Amino acid sequence: MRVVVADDVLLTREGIAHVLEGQDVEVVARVADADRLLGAVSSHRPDVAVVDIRMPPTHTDEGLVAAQRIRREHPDVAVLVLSQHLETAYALRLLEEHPERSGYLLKERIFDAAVLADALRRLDEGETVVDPTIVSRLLGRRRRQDPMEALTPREREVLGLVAEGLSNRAIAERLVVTERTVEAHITQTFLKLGLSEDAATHRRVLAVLTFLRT
Amino acid sequence: MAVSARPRGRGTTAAVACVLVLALATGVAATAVDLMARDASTTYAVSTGLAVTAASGGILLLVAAGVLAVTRPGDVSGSLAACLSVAWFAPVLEGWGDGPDVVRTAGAVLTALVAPLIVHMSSLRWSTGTPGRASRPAVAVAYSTTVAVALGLAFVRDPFRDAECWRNCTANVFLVAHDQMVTDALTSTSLVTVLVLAATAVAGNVAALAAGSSASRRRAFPVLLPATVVAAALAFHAAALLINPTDGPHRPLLLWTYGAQGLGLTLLGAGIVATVVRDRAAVRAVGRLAELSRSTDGTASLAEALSGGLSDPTLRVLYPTADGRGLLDANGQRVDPPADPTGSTTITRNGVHVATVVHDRSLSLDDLEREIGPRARLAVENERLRATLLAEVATLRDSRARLVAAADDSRRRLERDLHDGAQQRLLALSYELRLAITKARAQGATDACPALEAALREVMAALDQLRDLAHGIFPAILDHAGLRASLETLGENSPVALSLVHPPEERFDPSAEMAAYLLVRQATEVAARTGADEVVACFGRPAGGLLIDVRVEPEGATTRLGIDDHQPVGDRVAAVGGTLTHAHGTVRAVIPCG
Repeated sequence: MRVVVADDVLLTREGIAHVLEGQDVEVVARVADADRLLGAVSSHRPDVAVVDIRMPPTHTDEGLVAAQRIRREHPDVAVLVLSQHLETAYALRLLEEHPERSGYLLKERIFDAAVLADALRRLDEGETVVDPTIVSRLLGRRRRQDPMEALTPREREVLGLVAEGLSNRAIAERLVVTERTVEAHITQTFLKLGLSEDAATHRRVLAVLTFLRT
Repeated sequence: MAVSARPRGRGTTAAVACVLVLALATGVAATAVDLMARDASTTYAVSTGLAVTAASGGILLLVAAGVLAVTRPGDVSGSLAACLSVAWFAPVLEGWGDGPDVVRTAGAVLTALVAPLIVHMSSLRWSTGTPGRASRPAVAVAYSTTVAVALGLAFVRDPFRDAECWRNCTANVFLVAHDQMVTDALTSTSLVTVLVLAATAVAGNVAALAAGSSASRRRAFPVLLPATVVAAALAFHAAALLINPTDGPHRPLLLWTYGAQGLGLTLLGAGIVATVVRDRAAVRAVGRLAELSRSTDGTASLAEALSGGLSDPTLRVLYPTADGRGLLDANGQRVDPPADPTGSTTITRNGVHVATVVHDRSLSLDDLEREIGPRARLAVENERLRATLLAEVATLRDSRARLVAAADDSRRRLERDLHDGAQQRLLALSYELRLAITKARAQGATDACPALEAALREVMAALDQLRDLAHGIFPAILDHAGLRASLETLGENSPVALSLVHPPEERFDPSAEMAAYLLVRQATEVAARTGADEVVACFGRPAGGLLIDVRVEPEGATTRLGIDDHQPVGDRVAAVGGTLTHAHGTVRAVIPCG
């Protein structure tokens, strides 16, 4: 797998590259800002671009904007956006147009080799990756009339994994059940929550996250 | 209270000179009228009608001069009107058969002054369009040319040898040496000068009337229109003589122009008197108005009264700042001092500058002091205090807003430093630890692993805490993405359910956004403390401002929101110019947004 790394802090950039190389991934370019990132993606055509969300000049969301652009202009390049903040708004923005091959992770998680390998593999297979911490916060949110109370604990667990972007097969592996069981849970959950989105598409992640947020 | 509009230094000399000129002019007028009544053969006034018109012109000018001398002491306009009367009657004196030669010669010379005097009088500040001071050089040139030519003629013209003479064929005490050619040349020059000056006066007056506002046009009309008529008649007279040098009452055209000049001067005198009387009446009425008028909130009552009473829509009243160095308007806003001193009148009280009235240049407000009664004086004093107070309040609010913005800036920097500094270091540390763990496992030093793994867990916990800490210090998302996004994040992490109704999509001033965000955040904290179920925040956009209604569900005495003006949120809202009110467990903040 060939990857481009974009982060304006040298230490972090090198660290990410090192972890990637430890996973037998080829780091074809290391860049420090969004313009260079877009250039590197155009010239190297990597499989994944690992992008820090906060980059010069304004240090707000340059990385996110660049990631959206990459997904638009190079549909076969996946993006993994890293952030030091847990901002659901950013994750939703990223997934809005092209949820497949898009991921949003807390930066500290990427140094965990297992998490990184899993994220890269899923992105490469065209899936979505959402940091579990975001999902758990959303699930744990206080609400006046909590629609989640209509769900069984199992359904809630499944819903969380759907929100993280896992495929039905991955969920089945995680919970040690069959894929068919997972599908049934999801359909039932969507029905109970009144979600109209097709439970089988990539857009289901966005639908669940949006639902959990409001 | 004293009112001063012009420097007083030259006042006394000008007043004395004016009295002398008036006395002289009265003597001249009396003599001239008497002469015209007795024997009019040496003047144009051959018929009773012409004589009356001519006499009334000079007499009314004299009356106007007297009125100006009394009401505008120290102003040159009184003396000018008197001189014009003298110059008008001068030809009659020149034709005085039995009169002393000196007087007759003086009459001959003074006749020429009518044209430059008309130019000078027209250029005084009767309206905003008249040039005033700017035309002084031109007026000086007019006078000097006229006097030079007239004196030159006096030196070389021998009336005895003048075949065309009809008015004065004998007297010229200034005669030095007769020279017919020079006499003819100078006569033509003087006629051309008159023509040019008269034409200039006509053009100048028309331009002045066109340039001014309609209010100033109305004010200047009674003076400038007759002056233009006189100037036009002068021009025709001079042109007629240039074409045909034969002079005398047997030429009807010359009688017409003479009559027109007389009529014009009559109207001019009457117009001047009318202008002065009208101004004084207006100021007197305004003085009474200022006593009676009292608008409901007391704002700008004096300025409105003055502006309406004097028909000057441009009129403003300004007050000096506390340190005396600047000027404020009625709302406490700083204003530049008026550039044109003729357009402002200062009002002082016991020597202290209390107010400045900025008005149309052609208004003379010297009488303002006398006409403003005690109640109006109090109104001026009140408005000055109010304006000063408003200015102080504005300064305080600005400094308060700056303090808040500075505090936010330092928090912003702190969050950024944490993000770029401590958090990155901990990330690096976590990475190093993972490497160490991997290495330990690879080398088989498994007893080191538990400690390393524990250390790694600590680091991850520290990162977690640091992230929340940084967010608590300054929510970066507020800066990056605005109110809606940051409030939604707040809702995700809040211990109490948070509902947002119509959260605004657009961005506002950073201080305003922060105030709104902190208001909702504090509401969730307070609600959590008092055990409420939910906080509901509704947003609105009334008239360009931002409205936030925060209430707690369920309503009840125990869930009353304890947010008031003395807590930091109340201070913040006030610092950005907003208001915070609360009733029945709902807190309402209205924040003005530019």
